[in-house]
Amino acid sequence: MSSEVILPGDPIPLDSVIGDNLDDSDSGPVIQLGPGVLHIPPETLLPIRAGTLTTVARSKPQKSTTIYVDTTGGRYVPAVHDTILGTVIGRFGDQEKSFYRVSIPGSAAPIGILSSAAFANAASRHTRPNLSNGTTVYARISAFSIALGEPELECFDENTGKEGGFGELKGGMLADVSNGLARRLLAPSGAYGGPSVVDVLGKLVPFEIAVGRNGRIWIDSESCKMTAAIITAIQETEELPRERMEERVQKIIKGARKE
Amino acid sequence: MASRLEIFSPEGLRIDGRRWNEVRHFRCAINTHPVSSDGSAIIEQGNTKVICNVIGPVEPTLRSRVVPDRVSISVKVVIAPFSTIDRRKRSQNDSRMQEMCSSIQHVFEDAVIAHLFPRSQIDVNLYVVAQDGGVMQACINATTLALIDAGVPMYDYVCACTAGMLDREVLLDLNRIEESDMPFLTMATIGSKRKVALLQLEMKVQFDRLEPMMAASMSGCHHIRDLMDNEVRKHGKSRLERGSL
Amino acid sequence: MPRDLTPSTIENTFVLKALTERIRLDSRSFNQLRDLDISFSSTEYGVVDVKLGRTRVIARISAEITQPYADRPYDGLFIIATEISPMAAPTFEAGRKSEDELVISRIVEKSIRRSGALDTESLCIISGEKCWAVRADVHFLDHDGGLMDAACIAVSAGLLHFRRPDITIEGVGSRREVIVHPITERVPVPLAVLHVPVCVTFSFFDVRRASSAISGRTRNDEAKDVDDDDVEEEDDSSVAVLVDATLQEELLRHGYMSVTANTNREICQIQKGGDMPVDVGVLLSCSEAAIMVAEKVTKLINKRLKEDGARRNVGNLLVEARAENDR
Repeated sequence: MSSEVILPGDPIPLDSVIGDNLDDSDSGPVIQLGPGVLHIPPETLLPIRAGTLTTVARSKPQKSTTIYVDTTGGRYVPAVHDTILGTVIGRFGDQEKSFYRVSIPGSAAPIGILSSAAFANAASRHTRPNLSNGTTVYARISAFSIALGEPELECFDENTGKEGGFGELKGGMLADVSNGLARRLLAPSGAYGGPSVVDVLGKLVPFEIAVGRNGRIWIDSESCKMTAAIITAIQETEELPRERMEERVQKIIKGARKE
Repeated sequence: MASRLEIFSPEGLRIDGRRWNEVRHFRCAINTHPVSSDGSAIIEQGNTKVICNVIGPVEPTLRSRVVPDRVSISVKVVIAPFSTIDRRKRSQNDSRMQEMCSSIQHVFEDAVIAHLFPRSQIDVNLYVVAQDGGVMQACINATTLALIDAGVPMYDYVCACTAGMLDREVLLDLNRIEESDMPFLTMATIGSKRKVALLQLEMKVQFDRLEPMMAASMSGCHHIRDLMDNEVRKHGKSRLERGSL
Repeated sequence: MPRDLTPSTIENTFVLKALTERIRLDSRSFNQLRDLDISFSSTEYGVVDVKLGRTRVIARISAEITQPYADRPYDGLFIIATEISPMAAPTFEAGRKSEDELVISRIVEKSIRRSGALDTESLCIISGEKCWAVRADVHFLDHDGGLMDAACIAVSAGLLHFRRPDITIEGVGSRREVIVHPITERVPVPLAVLHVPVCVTFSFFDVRRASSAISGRTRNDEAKDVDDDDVEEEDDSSVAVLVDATLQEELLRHGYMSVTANTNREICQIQKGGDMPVDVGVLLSCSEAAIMVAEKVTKLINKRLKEDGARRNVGNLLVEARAENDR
């Protein structure tokens, strides 16, 4: 993975981006476009927002390169497969088939629709969860397009069909983080070089975390005090360099332990 | 200095002949407008007179007023142009009036057992017919009575009273002349204990004077609570005798 | 990212539970103010930038000469404009006055104008004809709770910092003329500020509602039980009183009280809206705490004013050129 700062309209240095990650066949390089890059046919690629141009080289299933522009700020735009943290604000439909309206804070499409059948073990009406207003759910966006409006949500693991940590969250506390941090926290460990703040915290104290791509995190731990400290640690260290981050996190957690 | 003497004489009498800890003549009636409203009351405190009528709980007329888990209360205060010496039409959008409405609304949103009527609204309309000081307190007291008449369940009576501080003397339940001459506070209590729902002080006062003022207005509130309670019981009894209960 | 304004059950429960353990999310103690930073414009008089934690307010004081009101010929004019734009938070709509905005503007008005912080008689130039009109424009730039406290501090500090141009009156009778000396010509004159009001907002949380939220009972059942078998002296422990709430705390609180105090141990204004009934003793101790906060804040304002004065007074010229000096 490599990255550099790019502004809208800058040329994308395709050659260096692709490097030697070329398929053996003669069909030319395979490039996948992520958010922030516009394709103007036949072969112009244009960044349309400012950030770091990030490229990921893949070799499976075929040799390809993913390009996208990574930014921390801005509003979250829903995308399919993203996990989000939302709050149930209403319910409609009848006994057989009912839907929850879920507010997705910080999202460009602020209200999502969650079917009461979109849970693990929801085959029968009696095993479906009954969520009251104000309940926080960890859900995945199963369908969304800007034109359709409301994102559709699901509360089960799409690969296994099991619960997989999705669904109603009980206890703990929610906090706001930047979009960028949420994405970094969800990336595989070490993807951004070195341990993330969650890795550091995990060595110090046991806790549970759920990260929503809409810039919200949910934390639960042994005590209120520790949960508050973990949230502070995550929020405060976002823009610190790694060594300072580790130092700060250790100090905060130690402070919470002391009393 | 001359005006001071008038307001509180050395003999301990106030401009209208009351002692420091006396409330003004208090008269109230409930169920005064049985046709036009669900609950109604008239309150007279000295020369201040307020009519209240309550409509509700009913389904909200506006979607925006729907609160899913509790009743929403809206308060409107109309001040009659003839209620003061200088006749003029008061605008409804006066920020003072808006503040008063929203304060009264918040008082009763916490005094009414709100979760019993989800997705419904209660309209409180207050008409200030004559004002001689203590408009806010009269409005609150009238609302309490009208809500009781409307049969809206509440935790307890909400009663309001003012107290002022003239030099070192506390005066209870001020009239208009007294109000314009000294710092005073309006307090609303809920029930017969020390619970304060609303407290407003608009003029500068030494901190040490605050406690006596609060103590006086609290005893005034409790006194008014007894007076209102008597009236409600009396009204209930008379209705029972007429066989209309 | 702007905060969502409908807190979830999780947040509600957690904040209340933390309060029963006397923890605030930002690890402050209950009676601790957030970091307060006051800075003055380096070029202009009467421009103050107040940062209270992440809340930010700018006040700008200006003065012009106008005609006094006919019924108050000896008084100058003093106007405080507190319009909240969507800049502070997306919940505020431009041009439409929300209830929050109404409360904020009324409290700032009562705290500063009605308490007589500015001696309006000193603004009179020629009675019935000319007077100064002092205007305080408050701009709310970022909203993380405590807007009225920050606004009040900003206006108070602005009034202390502001200098109006010096004037002289020439001629007699109807041919009197007012000459305004630009501040580049004569040392400008400070306003007659009689006291420095500081507004402090206390947020009340009913921690018994916390236990009910955790045990799953509705808070109203709980409140009712409590009202029934209430014992008078146990009241103080059931309410958590927080100074200077953040926006999150403001959204979750059950009631609040704003007290404006000054260093003369005077209470200028109290506003406890009708929310959550609170024991009268708690209200009194809040008022006393407000005085302590006022002392602290006034000290900071004075310190910053002194620093600013020292920076401006290069070579002691401002002192020597002052109009009050003997000539």
